[in-house]
Amino acid sequence: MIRLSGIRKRFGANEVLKGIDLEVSTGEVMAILGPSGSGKSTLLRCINVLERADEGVVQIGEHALDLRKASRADILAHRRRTGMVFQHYNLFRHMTALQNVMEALVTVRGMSKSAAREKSVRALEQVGLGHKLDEYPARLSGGQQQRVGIARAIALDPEVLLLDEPTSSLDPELVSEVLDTIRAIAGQGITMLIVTHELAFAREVADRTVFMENGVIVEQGRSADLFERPGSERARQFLRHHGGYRRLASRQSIL
Amino acid sequence: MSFDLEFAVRALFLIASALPTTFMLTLVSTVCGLVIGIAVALIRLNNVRVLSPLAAFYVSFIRGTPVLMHLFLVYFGLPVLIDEAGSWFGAANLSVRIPLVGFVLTAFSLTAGAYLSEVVRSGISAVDRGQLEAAYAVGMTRGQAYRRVVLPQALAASLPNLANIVVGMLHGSTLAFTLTVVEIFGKAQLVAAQGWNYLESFAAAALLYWGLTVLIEHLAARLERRINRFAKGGVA
Repeated sequence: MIRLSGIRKRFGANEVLKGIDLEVSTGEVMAILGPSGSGKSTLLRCINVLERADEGVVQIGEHALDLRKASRADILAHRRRTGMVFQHYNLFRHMTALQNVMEALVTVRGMSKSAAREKSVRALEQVGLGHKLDEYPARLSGGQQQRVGIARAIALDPEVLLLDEPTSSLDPELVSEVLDTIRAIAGQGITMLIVTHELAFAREVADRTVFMENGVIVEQGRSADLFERPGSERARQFLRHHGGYRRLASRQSIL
Repeated sequence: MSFDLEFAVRALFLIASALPTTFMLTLVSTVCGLVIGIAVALIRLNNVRVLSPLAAFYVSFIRGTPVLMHLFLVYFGLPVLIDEAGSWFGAANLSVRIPLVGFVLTAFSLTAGAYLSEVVRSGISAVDRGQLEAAYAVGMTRGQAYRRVVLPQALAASLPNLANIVVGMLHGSTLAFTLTVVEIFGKAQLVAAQGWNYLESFAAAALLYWGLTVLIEHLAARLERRINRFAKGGVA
């Protein structure tokens, strides 16, 4: 379970998050939608404190982190309950796919190399890259790199997986392999927050969807409801503008 | 006056006996310099209070003065500092126990440290910020993130500059002879002085320096090729 209360963040004069409250229960998948600049990526980055929010509390399971007062040690312990998948993959460039996944298991978790290796191979097989263990990121396609990124995150058994526009920098023909991977992981009951522009995917995979704009949550609800009967005019416009309805109509052929 | 080839060959072997000293001076000062350089670069990049302006002063001063000056400042200055500190603990004239090569290594390390800090700094800046974020996201501490992720890539990115500094330190090590530490250049002078065969002796020494330089460049190029396996089109 993850609960956000009163998350506020400003960059200079610009208030990017204006008090966000949100709860995701264990095993639930939540999609966050919104126009660019709505603060959705910043919100995700505030959850694992890559961005330090000015105010607010993030609770994961029993552990609450007051973002205003948190010490470096608090933040570290908190981060280790989360995993993150980045828009630009951010794989460690000087390490092979296998080393990327193993690295934190060894340095952070203190696992033995052989146990870490075994676990990492399993994670990479799970994302369909069991045959690319020893490749460096530079020799992998974008889709493969992102799948390594997903393996790296899930190998740590995070209580919450944060995905920040995981398919936004991929060539169109590579999007589906990454979405398939995410769908498979979502099916295993891991708690997920996913910022995405893939509306059809959000509707299909996310149990609930949140629509954000200008640093506030405009609307949230079960994905099916939000997509079919958006309550707010803004969400309606957004969905129409992004071809939500059109894509939904041909959803069957896409998926 | 003609060139005595036979003597030059003999000189080459005589002078080669000083190779280990030159090698040691270059290696130790570069390694110590790298440690200093990484520390200084991190202090400056993270804007550490108090230390950051001190580090900036150190880099500016060292880069703004000749290496020979560092050597003499350390040679005449370090004993004053050490004896002053020693007298507090009731130990007089500690500095006479420092071997000359100790002064040389201290001075050269300080020189290398300042130059290398700039190399490391630009290397770290070349590493994409996403790398640090990914390291934090998997739960690393700042120290782990730098040790395991940022610095290896930064050093890989700065390898060509690093090789240049090593070559510079190799050539700069000739100055050690001003404090009578006998490295290649010093040995060449001693060999030459026996029979006034200066040209032959220095030509032989030059050949050794050239060989060492080519060796360093070759090693750097090999290392670079290995790194390029993962860093297609740059590290960042």
